Amino acid sequence: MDLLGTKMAPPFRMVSKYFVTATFAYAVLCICLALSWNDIHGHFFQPHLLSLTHIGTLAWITMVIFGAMFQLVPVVLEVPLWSARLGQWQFWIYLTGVIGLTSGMWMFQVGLYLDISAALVAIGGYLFLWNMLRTMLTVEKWDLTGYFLLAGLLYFFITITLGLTLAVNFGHPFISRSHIDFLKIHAHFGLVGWVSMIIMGVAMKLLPMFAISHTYSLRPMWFAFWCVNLGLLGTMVEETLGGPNLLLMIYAGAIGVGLLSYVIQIILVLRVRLRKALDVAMKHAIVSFTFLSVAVVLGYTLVSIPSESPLYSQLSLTYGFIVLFGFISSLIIGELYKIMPFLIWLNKYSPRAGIAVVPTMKEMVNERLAKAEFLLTTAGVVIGAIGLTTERQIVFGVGAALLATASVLFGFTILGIYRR
Amino acid sequence: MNIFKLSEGDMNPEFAAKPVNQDDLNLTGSIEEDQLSQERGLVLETLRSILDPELGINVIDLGLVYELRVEPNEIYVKMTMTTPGCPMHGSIIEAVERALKMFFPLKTSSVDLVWEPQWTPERLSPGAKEQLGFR
Repeated sequence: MDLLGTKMAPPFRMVSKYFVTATFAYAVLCICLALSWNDIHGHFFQPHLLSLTHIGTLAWITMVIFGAMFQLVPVVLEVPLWSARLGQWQFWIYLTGVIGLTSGMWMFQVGLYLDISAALVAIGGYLFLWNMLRTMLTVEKWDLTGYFLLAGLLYFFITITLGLTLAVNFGHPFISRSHIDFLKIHAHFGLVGWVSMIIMGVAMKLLPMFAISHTYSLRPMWFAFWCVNLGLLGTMVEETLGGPNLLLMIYAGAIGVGLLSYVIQIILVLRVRLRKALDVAMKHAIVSFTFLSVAVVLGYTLVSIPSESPLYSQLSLTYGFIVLFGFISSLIIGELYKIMPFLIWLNKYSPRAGIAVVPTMKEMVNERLAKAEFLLTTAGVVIGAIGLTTERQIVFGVGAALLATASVLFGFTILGIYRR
Repeated sequence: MNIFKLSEGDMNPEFAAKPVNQDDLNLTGSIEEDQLSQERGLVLETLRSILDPELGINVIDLGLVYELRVEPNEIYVKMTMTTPGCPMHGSIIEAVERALKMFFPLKTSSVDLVWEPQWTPERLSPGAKEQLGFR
């Protein structure tokens, strides 16, 4: 009998560390955003904004992805994790690096401090890549999710390598071209390549399972896979070589079409679902993919605007804000309402299931808190985005305050699951 | 006779009174019919107390059990999951094994997880459909 789900799962404490740290980091991110509401305007290349972006991408999003992949890859691809011990070491190296990097950016402490911190982040990232690739080497049954994960890992390698290069270039400039060109590749490979590839692949596995959806075509998902990858690799080549703008727009268009194709895939999955009632996790997913559609339109608009124009800076902030909070964070929060009860149930209640009354996963989540968090997060993103687009700082401040409140509620909801 | 009465605390009251869709199960046995049917009933009740922790519906009403064989010295269960590669499959199978071992200690029990034929929504009991909001 094949019982990989429980027998091969990595130690609870190891995986749990990643999720708890990420939840804490999300609250720190949202609270810092609310406190520095008056700094978020103008060009995106400024210390506080860079620091906040990296708290979001490294301490929150990437930390969650690490934990989720450690937990789910053995189950989804039916292979044991290569080394749980390496996962423990990676955590501390990576966390030290992230704290150093984000604090260094906040204080604009360039030089050795930033170099060492960026190197630690990169080492942590490379250790994760090594662990995952060694794990995936033993996979026998590859499916679409597996390909998404593999592509995501490739982009992660490029993102952290570019990130390290850019951090070193801060203190000891050696890149002859504008670092903004490389920053664009770094940001897009990080958000669309690494983060989106992974969460799209994982969501495609989890959503049909939670919604109990059967018999739907996977063509839009395959189409999305090829479009996004072709678009990303094309934009990298064009940005690096400084090719014609038309080609860049075609590649950016391919990414946009790919992402929208993925949204269509999700609609197909949800249309045939047996579980009609939408819980908070599902609502988060639906809102997230709506924001993704908005981000695609905004992103494509940005490609067609000269990067020197004030409108470009203004829309870039809105775009980044919607991608980070509306699409990625909203989806991750929803998935954590499923992953955390699963993790804790597996560790705490699974050994007693069948011979004693144990709670269901739904009963482990405080639905009222989660609903309040969902409403505040959604309202926060909408109001914040309006504030950024119209350049009304006070409106953005209200949105950021709502997000900060929601992040605290989210933290309490996760804490509540632990205490069940 | 290997009869074990389940205590009320171990049962899921929501499903305890609902009829079992016995036509869907391949029930075979070889001991006296009355004793056999009594034991089948108890095994079914035991399985009905085991919930899918994500859906909150028991494995019988979900239609996950393909075959149940109760013999004088043995209980055999062949079952599936609603989705191939379901992360909960290990826990649910272990729960079934654990329950059978505990409530029927004098019988050897074995549980096979199969992915073919694939589970379909038609296997859901009317109660489960109602709970899922599926019409």
